[in-house]
Amino acid sequence: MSKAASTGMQRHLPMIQGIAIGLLVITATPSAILCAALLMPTILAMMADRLHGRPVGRTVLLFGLAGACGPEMTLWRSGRGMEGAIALATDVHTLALSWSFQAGGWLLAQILSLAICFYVETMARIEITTLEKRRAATAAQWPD
Amino acid sequence: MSAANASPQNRDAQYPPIGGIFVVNFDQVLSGAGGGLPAFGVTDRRYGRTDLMAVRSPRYAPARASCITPLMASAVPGVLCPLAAGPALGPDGKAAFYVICQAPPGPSLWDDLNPSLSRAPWSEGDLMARLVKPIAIALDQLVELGVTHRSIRPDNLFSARPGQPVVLGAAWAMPPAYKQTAVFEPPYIGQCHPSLRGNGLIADDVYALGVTVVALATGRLPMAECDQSEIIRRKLERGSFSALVGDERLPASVHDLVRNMVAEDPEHRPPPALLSDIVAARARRVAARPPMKASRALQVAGNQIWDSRSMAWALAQDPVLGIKLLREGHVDAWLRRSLGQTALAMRLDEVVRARASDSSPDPGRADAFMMMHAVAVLDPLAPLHWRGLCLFPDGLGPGLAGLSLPRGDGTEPPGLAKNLETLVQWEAIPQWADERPDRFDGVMLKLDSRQNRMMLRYVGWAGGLPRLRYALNPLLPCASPLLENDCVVRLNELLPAIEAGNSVEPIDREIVAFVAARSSVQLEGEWAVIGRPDDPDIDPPGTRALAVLRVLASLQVIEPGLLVQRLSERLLPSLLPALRNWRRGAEREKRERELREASRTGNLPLMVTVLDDPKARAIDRNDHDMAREQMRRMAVRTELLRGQTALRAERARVTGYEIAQSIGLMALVVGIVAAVLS
Repeated sequence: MSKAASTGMQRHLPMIQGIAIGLLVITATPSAILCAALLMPTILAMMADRLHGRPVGRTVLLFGLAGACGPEMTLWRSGRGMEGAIALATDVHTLALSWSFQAGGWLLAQILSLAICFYVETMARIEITTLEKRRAATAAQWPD
Repeated sequence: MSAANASPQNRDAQYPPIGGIFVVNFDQVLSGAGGGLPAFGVTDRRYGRTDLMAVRSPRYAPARASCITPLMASAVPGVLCPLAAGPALGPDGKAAFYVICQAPPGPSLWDDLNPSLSRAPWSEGDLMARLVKPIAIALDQLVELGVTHRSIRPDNLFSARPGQPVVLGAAWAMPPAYKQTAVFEPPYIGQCHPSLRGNGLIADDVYALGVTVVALATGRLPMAECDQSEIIRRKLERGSFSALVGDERLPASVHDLVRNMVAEDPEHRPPPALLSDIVAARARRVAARPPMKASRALQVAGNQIWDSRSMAWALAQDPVLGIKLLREGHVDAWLRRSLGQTALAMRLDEVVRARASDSSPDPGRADAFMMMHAVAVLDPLAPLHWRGLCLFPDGLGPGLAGLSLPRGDGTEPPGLAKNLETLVQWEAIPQWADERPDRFDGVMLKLDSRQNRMMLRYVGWAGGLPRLRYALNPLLPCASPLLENDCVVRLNELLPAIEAGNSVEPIDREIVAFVAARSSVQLEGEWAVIGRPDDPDIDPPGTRALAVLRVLASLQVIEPGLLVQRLSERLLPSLLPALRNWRRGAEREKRERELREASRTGNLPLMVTVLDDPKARAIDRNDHDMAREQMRRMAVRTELLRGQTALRAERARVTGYEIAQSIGLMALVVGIVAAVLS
């Protein structure tokens, strides 16, 4: 795929996502209600993430979707009714489990970025120290 | 300065016996034996000879190398020939150059002229048998060796006892005719400064012998009452024979012989081979005409001038007045009207016209050339007259020694050295020789002049008059103030003298000129650096000290067994900065240790090798460049690492998020699979 085509896709992605969500709401309203309830932290994370591409929001979304698979399957098997959707959406246990997944995703993203940052910085410090030592040794070997 | 603090043992070691066997006995002064120079007895350590003497050479009048070498190789009977020559240390702690020769067999003939001794004049028979014939034979042998004596006079002729043939004294420890008074020299040589007379011809020895014959035949020195200038004037005016003999009556045979021997033109004098046959020499007739007299004299500087040769002499004595008279046409008019020498006047006119058409920016140069040519035209026998100096071309070397050395006592006008410099610089000698093609080899003189001028033009300490002075005087001692008490004539004597000194700066301008003139080693690069002692821009550090070391090391190579610990210790501090040229610290320290060790042993070539190893220097420099490049890269990398902290944090965070997303994706897949399977 060409770069221009890729850029065009990205530009139209929100619209495509909106249409997909609209279709989901129209065609599967109970599932949409359940998803909205289960993915409330994801919506908040997406709104709070100001980074380009919303990497934190996306991580939380992935973890949220992973946690929403179980309840959605349960809704699907119980006949996809509005009552079942509301029951599941108001089930504290279901909500807690799903939201915990999303919180874990957020936490994982933060910890991983901090850990890698610490690792990289530590390695840079070690390299600087090594270079300074070698430079001092060379300077001692070749005095002016 | 030099040697002032050296121990007596060192000083003795510095001055071994001359020629390895001759030791000068300074207690045994031989008065009147040295031909005007101080003479001392000599101990011969090998053969025990007692008939030897050492003649001391004046410091600024070098011995005659061109005579000493051939005469040492083949002795001439009837001449006190040199046997060896070299420096010796005097009892006053000052060294001088001595020529070892046979000692006179008896007193000089000067006693025969001493009025207080009331001795009878020599008879005709004695003159011929004891004086003329043996000296003529000796001179003939000197001719075969290509040397002249140039010191024939009664006080340098010796006889063992009355009735014995005389022998020629020593004349080798000073420039030719250096101690001759004007009476014993032809007027054209008497005009010259004692240092500038040149080797002359064997005919000039015949002339001096002729004057000696006159003196001994009459029992008195001719023209004893006259000063030098008056003697020359009389000889030019009357002719040498008339001036010398005057009203004296000589035996007929002596009269004819002497007339021939003191002929004005050297070509008219009998050669020594002919003189040894007295009858033939006496019978020889010369076609010389007496000098032509003018009908009216011309007044020049208070003197009445009657003939052209006297005119040449008078003009040359006062160049300023002479130039004026020449340019205003007084001399030309006098030649035409009073002397009737139209041809001579026309030649002189050409010279003056050439001056008038000379448009060179330096009028003094044009005037000097005009005077030189004018004197040569007026007197074909005259020496080269140049700005008040009279000389023959081969007298230039001794002249430079005598006139260009700074003596400090003001005995010589400093202008004379400058005049000699312009003589060389403007190549006047070959131009003068062109006026006398029958007597001088113009091509050879031109080549010599060109070479001398090149030496003079060499910029720095290794050029100029000092180098020319040493190049033209192989036996002139180095005149450096650092060697004040030493006598360094040969290159191999220089290093021991410097070693004995205490000066921090081991060489100066005179030493540089001396070495440049005598050494066969090409040290031009070193001279260029050494000649800038106060130049702070000489790069890299220690370059000048290293150049000095290289020069001194080249001297030590000549004497491989000589170790100079004191000198190397003195040189060491100035050489230490040169170690900075070695970039690697470890190499520098190693070389410093080696340098100090070489210095302790007094091995200068080794010190040079330690400091100046081109291959190792190239490797060192290359490694240094590489190390510097490496250090630069390390510095850049360090700065980069320090400056990219924020960027690294951003990248790390992005990476963390991406990993988290990957884990999230895996969790989603697991969630979907688990939901489907449940």
